[in-house]
Amino acid sequence: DDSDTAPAAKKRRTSTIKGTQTTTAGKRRAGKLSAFQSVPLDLLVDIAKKLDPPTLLSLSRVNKLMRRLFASRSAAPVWASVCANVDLPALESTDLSAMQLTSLIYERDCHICGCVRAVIVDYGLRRRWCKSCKSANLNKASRLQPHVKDLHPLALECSLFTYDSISGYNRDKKPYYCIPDLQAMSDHLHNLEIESSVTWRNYLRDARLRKRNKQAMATDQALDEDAQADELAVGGLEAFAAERASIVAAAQKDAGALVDWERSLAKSRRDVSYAARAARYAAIKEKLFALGHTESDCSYLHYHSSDVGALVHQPTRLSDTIWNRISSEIIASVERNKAETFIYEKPERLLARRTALQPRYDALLSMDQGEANTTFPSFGIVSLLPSVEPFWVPEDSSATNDEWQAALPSILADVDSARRAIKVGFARHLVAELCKPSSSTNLDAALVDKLKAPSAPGRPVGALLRSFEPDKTHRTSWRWSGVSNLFAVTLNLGYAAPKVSAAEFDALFSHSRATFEVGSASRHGPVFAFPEIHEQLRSRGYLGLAREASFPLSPRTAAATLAQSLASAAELDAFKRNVLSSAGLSGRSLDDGGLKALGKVFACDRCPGARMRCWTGVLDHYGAKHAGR
Amino acid sequence: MSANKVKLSTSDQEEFDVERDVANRSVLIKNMLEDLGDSDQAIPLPNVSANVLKKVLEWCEHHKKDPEPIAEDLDDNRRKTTEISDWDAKFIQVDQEMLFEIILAANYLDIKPLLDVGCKTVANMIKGKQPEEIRKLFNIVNDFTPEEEAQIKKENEWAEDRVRLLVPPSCTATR
Repeated sequence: DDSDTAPAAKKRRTSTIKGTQTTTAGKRRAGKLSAFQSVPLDLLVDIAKKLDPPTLLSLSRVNKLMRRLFASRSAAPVWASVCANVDLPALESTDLSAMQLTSLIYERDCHICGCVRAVIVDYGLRRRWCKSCKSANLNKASRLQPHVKDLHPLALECSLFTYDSISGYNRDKKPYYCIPDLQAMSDHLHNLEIESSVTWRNYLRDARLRKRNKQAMATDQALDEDAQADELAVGGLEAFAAERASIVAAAQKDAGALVDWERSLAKSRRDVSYAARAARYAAIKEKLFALGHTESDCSYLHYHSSDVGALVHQPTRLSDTIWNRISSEIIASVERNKAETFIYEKPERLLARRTALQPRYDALLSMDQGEANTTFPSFGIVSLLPSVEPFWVPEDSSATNDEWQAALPSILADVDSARRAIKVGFARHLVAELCKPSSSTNLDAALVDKLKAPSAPGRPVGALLRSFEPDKTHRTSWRWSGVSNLFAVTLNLGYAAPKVSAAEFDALFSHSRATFEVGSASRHGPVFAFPEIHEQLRSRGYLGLAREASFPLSPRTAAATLAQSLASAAELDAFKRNVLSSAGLSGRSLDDGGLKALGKVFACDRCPGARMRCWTGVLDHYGAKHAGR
Repeated sequence: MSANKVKLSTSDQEEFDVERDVANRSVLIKNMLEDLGDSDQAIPLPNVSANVLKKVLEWCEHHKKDPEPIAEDLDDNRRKTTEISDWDAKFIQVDQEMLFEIILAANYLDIKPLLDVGCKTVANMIKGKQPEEIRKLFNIVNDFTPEEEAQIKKENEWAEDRVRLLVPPSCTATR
């Protein structure tokens, strides 16, 4: 014996399963019955009844004893019990055993090629096959001709069929047959026909011969007996066909029931899995709540795509062991997410605190009347005043009434500074316009000098907000878009031009060019003098700063542009008279200032349906569209 | 001997004094006590060894206040599910030899719930396993020849008649 002479350690491969040392099949503790097999038969049956069908099938293949126990007809109650464990429907078919059904449902081998991953199971045909084998062996009745030889007339009604076509598309619900099965059935029917006929004929011939010994049989009677033999042969075939038809009908019913069972099983598996995952998610949240986290801290765990989603959304129950293993990663993720969320939500919190100041601003605004009201800075400016910013910019800031009242004097002082700075801004804006070479206005050089920005840094608004500015990554996020325009406000309260007197301001703002439009130039909207322009800007949601206003296009400039395209001053005058005439204003002075004051009464007589324009607008239009044409 | 105590004698001649409530979990002992009446005599349990009885009594002690088990035929859920309570699962975490000893003792002593726990445990051990895995698990010798094994597997496939099926060339590689 080789095993006796050879060193055991080299020959044997051993493995340990749950403390039981075993060797390869057939070499285990020879002579000693395993504890499992020493269990009394009734207990083995009790254990088997608690299994599921595929495991009982495996158990029945373990050895000859198990096969005798669980693969025999007497094991039918055990099989019925395990099938009931998985709610398998009771079959109408009597030709398919529970073991065969179990094999059909659970074993993944293709019945034809034997490949181990055959996922298509057809309960109508009782076949499990791979896609290639299905394509090669399935066809409908109208296409059987080249594949099935000498098809017996009863073969179709005696054969199992399916409505599941190769493509899966079968709108007309035509039956499909397994060609080799059909061929076998056809051959069987032919054989049956021949056998029945031959057997009966032989029997009758023997009987006739026996009778002839006694008396001669009439020829007619012999012929009758032949016909009777044929009838009986056909009768046997018909009985077989009838039995087959009932089997086919039962198989179809069973197929429907099995498909329904599969669907309900899949659904219940999904439901169970979903419930288990939900329970685990809830259990994890409970653990996090116990650690002081809130619902909103944990809400992102709901997403399977979160960094710890694979740990959270599992069907396995959250035991203490599992929690101990995964908790550190989940807690770290929750805290990280909490910190990130806090940063992300910073702008919302910031704007919410700022918005909370709006009622107090409205109260201050309504207290001032007349010019004081007109020049009262916008909420955008007031909220960025050095005395107001501490009420909303810092993360932990709040604005109690007492604190607000205490700060009110300094707030009002800042409001006055802002008023002055805004006024200076408009004055500087106007001076810059008047100093343009095209303007031909002679300004007092001393006034221009007084309005120049001081060299000192001054007191810019929004200084605290800018110091609060987060890193650039967050600034670019959409959440900061509501705050970004506040960062851009650049009013300097130090630009007060203290040497410019009120009379000088009045003189400057009463200049004929001291009119402003809301928004960008050449819109030809209504024009306003200062300080009305400030109020207009404020009421339209602007900050109320000079850079938000533009100067209407100078009529003189527009006329000069037009004149360049016209041949002479006489042509320009003729053009003006035409325009006035078309506007029904013949005889009016051709003075640009007077025409401008008429507002939007001019329409282009060359453009049908043209909109009404102001004088500047119509000059622009003619210059651009029709001059020289 | 107190009226609330019962003496049990094991196959290895060890005696256990147990509460009557605990001992009554065994239908066998309960019936014997009813037959014997008040007696100081130890009840012999020749099929149970001391270490197994100790384990069985541990289970009986924990479950002494459990309600009477529902009739098996009526308890559909009990048949279908192989779930075991946490305590029972921990209790039954023993080596295979002890597990089967407990099952045999529960069967002999007629303690159906314990027998049920044991059978469920064995069923759970087997569930989902292939024949070879079951053989390894329980140290069972495979007495089939390879031909017999192939034949067994094939005969479970339903076939009205063995027919020659057309195997497409693309499938030959997957065999």
